[in-house]
Amino acid sequence: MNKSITPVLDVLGKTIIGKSEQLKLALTCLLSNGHLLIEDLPGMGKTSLSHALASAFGLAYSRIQFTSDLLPADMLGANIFDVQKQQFSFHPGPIFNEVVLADEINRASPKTQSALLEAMEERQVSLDGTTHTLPQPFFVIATQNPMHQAGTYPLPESQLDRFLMRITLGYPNWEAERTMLKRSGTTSGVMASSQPVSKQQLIAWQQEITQVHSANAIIDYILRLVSYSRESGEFANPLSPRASKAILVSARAWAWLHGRDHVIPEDVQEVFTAVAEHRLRGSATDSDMNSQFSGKLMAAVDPLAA
Amino acid sequence: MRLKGSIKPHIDGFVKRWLSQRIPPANRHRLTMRSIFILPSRFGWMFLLLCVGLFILGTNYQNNIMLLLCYLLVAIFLINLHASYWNFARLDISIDPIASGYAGEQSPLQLRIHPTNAKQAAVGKLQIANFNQPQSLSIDLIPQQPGNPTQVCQLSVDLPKRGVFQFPRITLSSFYPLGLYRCWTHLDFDREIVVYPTPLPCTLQLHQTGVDNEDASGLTTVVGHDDFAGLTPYVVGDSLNRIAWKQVAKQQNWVSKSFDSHHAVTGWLVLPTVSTEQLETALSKLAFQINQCTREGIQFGLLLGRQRIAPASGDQHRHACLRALAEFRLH
Amino acid sequence: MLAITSQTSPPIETQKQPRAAVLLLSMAYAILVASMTTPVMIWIVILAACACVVRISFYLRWQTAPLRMRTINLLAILGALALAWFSLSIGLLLSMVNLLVMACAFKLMHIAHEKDVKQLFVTLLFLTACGFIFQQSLVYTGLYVSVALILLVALLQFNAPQQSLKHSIRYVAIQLVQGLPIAILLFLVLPQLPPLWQMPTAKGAKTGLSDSVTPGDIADLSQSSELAFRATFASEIPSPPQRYWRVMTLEQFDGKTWQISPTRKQVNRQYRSLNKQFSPSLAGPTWSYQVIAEPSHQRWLFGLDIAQANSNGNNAIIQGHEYQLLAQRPLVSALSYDVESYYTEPLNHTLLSIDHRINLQLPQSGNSLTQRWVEDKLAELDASAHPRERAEYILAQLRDHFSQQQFRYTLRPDPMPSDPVDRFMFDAQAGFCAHYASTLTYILRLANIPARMVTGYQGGELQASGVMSIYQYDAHAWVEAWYDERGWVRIDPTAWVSPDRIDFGLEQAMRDEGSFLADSPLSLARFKNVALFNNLRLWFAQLDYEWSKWVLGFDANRQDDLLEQLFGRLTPLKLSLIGVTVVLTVGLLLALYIMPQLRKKQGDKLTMIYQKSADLVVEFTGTPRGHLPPSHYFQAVQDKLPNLARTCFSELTQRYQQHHYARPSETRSESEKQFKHLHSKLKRHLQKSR
Repeated sequence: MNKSITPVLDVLGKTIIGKSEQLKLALTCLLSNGHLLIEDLPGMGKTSLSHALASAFGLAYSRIQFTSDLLPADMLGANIFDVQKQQFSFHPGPIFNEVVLADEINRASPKTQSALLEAMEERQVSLDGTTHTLPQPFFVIATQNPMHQAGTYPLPESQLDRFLMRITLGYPNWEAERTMLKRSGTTSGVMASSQPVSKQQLIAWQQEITQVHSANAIIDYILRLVSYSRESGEFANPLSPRASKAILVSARAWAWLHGRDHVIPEDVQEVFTAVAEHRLRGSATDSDMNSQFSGKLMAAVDPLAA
Repeated sequence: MRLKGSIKPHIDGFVKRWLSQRIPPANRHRLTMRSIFILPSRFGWMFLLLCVGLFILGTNYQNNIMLLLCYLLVAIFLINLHASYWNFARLDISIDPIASGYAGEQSPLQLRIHPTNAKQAAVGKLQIANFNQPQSLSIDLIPQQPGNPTQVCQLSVDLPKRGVFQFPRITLSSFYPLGLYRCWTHLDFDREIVVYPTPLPCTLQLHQTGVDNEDASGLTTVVGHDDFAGLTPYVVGDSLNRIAWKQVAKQQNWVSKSFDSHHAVTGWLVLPTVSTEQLETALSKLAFQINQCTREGIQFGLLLGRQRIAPASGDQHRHACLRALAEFRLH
Repeated sequence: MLAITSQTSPPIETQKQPRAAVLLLSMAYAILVASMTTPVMIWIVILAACACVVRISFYLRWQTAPLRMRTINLLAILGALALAWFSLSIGLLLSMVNLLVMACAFKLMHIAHEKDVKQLFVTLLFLTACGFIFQQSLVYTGLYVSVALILLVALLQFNAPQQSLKHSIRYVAIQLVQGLPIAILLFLVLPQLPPLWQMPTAKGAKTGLSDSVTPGDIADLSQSSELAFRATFASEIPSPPQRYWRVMTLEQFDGKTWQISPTRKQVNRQYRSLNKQFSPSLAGPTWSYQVIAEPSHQRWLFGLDIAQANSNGNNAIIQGHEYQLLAQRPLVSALSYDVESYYTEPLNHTLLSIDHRINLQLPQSGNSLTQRWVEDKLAELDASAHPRERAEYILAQLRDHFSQQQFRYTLRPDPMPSDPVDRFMFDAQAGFCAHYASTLTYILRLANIPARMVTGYQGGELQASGVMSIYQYDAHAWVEAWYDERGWVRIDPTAWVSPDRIDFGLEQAMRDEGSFLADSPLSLARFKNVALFNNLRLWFAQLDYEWSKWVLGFDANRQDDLLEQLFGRLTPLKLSLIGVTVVLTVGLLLALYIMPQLRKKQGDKLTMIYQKSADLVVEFTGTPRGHLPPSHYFQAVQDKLPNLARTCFSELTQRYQQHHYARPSETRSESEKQFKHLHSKLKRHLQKSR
């Protein structure tokens, strides 16, 4: 484990108990400058995870609850006529924060969804001909309730591709839930006050991660995985070039997180389900939470050269 | 002649059985000793004849250089046996799943040629033909460059009639490098082709046969509340919730937001009871209607005799319905 | 029922016509025709050039519409008719070669199908081989081998148009180099058969001395620096004035032209029908040497004085009654034979009566001045004088005449169309060997002394190690006369006027005139006095000699010698063993050639070693690796491994990971060694704890 990142993980681990794997993945996602999709039932700690991530790095945080009548302007902001100055001035919406939690993203209309996704991709907002740059770092955590899909707009495949990772939290185990219950009521105060690293440190780390070495053998392994998904005919939604890039980027961050300066196939395998599963699965409605597609793909491709 | 005619099917059957044992169907074929056949080509025999001619000429003129040249050509003939075999053995071929298409059309077929390793791949012209058929088409394999790992050949498949078919056995042959030998193989790709009935334009007939069937047509667009559709001038009586206050502030005209929804329309496409002769026509019409409904975003179900596909919409649903049509009562 | 079709509407083959391949074929064709301008008639050469131009204009897309079949057919019919007409005069072989060249030209103009390209290839390859009928020197062999290479490259381009030309050339060159050992092996071991049947020879391709000499004509033979033959001396080497290489004896004179006597031919036929070989009993010291005769398409061979020869090949040698050597068949390829020359033995073994009858023949009329000159001189002599006195007197008189009148030796004599002897004796008073020989022979015959003209070569350039090269410009003519018991005595009147010609060769003799090889300004032989060029020429001559000796001169005898040297006496059992060995060797060579390709397939060495080790662990633990990466697999099996093996495998895993995925730091060979060491250690530990 990378020594500099352990304090952050410790703090997060105190807030979200018994979910160290998911925490590491979420952190990887943040470190590789991507966006995160959390799929889970309500009450699993999605909100507290995102809040904890934001406060761990001292990032500005906002939460947008997506509903069917949420309009793009409600999220992005609007030009409002300033009576005193006799001109329009821009009032930024809640998206102008460093960590944005888009709660229940599948409840909003496709228009609003695509407005958010566009902002995520471009890292800027265009309104009435003016472009407003979003803050740096910019990290969107979207959540989606896989159950109770009636009357919702599931994200189409093309949009799912924009999330670097998808994770599920799942129920905590007995021990973890007991600890949580014992501590309930006192947590939030403790967490908010302690801020182990700064925003600048985060950006520096993000820079550092791009320098992690990935050998040709790793690149070939990723290419073999990707091309198998395209050529075997077993996958309805083969992996796109964006996906292969995502795999490499998050494997690098994962390797850095584990204190290595180079990527090994284990890194690729460990992030693979989070990165590839939602892309392979597509918008299929019968979403079971497991990793059937990515597992199948990993089992079919040998990480050592063929 | 008649005797020959009666034996031929037997031989063909035997060959097919033998081949399916020797080269069983697979999605990807890497050629090996078992799957490669090699014999001198007609040109190869011509070349050997030339060597014999040179030998006679060289002997008769007692010309040692001519003899040497003759032996050199024989040596090249021998070396080429290896060269062609190993080149062909480097072939590693798969075909992508074949998209379903309508009867009478063509479906694109992607043949992928993978490199066996980083440095080597098969090169030269490759002839592709249907098994046991003389006409072939040739593709020229591009010598491998770094960063161009697999080569994709765009071909197409004729889809003559509706049904679900197994992709037929194909014959690949190569004359590389000097055309002295013909290397060939008969590959069976484990791919299925679904051929939908050709769509026949007709009017849309949606039946409300489901659980509740009061409204017969059901082809209306109902004002909904899910999807923002645009702004309409305010009409007295519109809900105050729907007034677009921001626009009112800017333009000082009263407008209200309108929403709509397509969810309301559902119906069933039903195969009428028809004679066998008219079955194909009826299926073709259904195919057209399925496409029509999908285009217009109508939720529909399909009733084919006893088979029943629950109402839904979208591309996946369309394919499922068309596939049901393709498979229906195949003879 | 489902049929595969091409997605693009026109078939792919028509899109990419094998343009490069056809252009290469025409290039090979052009080189071939250019090298065969002697046997191929000029109008066919022009036709070939046209065909090449047509091909080039197709290639450059100046012309796109194919030539009309009717035009080509018409041309072909016309060409065939013309060739049929010419074939009467040029003989079967040349007609066939010309026909091939012409057929290729028409094929080249009209290439419509793939079939045409293949046919053209085969025909051109055959034509290339035919080139060896006319030219077998090292230079031409190199040229024709490169033509064959171009042809094969064209064929490769035809079968793989996407391949770059450079790659194709490399590919074919490698195949040729690989094929060479096999070809040489076959060449050494496959039996050298005698000719299966008599092949037509080329009339126009004949080189060397012609069988008639007309001194009045212009000189042209002396101007060629082509090699005539080589002699390798095993014994002492004769000095330059002794190097009279006899080729043929001309005994019939019609006043202008010397040729072989018809009487002599008849006599020889009679001898042959009686199966009476000329085999004089000879004794005394000899020069022994081996001659390698260049293919001259003639039967004449070369020997010094009285020569007895043994052929090494399938072409037997006949000893003629005129002391000359004759091959049984024309020399279509190089012929080597061993000679013993009895240089002290007099030439008196033949029947005097026949020789006298033939060699006192005189033309009916003409050259009256000379006749009167001889009569005048003879009148001064006693009529009853011994023939020898008469001969010596006449010779002395003629010598005086030559020196008094200041006769010159020249390669550029004036033409002497009528009464050439008179014109030479009293008018021109300059000429070359044939003029002098002709005059002397005629005069001797007028004096009733049997005399004849002998043509052959005089001189020879000695190279290192007793090898003597005799070129066409060494051609010479001299006289033989019979006036006492010594039999035929050689007299060379040229030596009287130009002793340099005999002692130092033609070049020295012609130094002042500057006419040596005047027609071939680029011949290396002209630059003998430039040291660099001369060395180069000599070196090349030596190389060419080795080529002739070892390749062109390789024959059945030499093959037997070689095999016997290698394997001892050849029994049938041994021969069959040799056959089996050859087949095995060829198979081994072929296997050797594909080895590198098989090797390359296996990929990274370290991965291989790691996989082998992992296989050991799988076998021991029973846990399959599946597609687990190294460290995950180690975690999966570490509890099932004994302690020592675990540390071993752990190190191996870590090292492999380090090498394969980390930034490169260690050199590869080092870690390969360590890997092998670790692998064997692991193997040991696992075996121990089993």
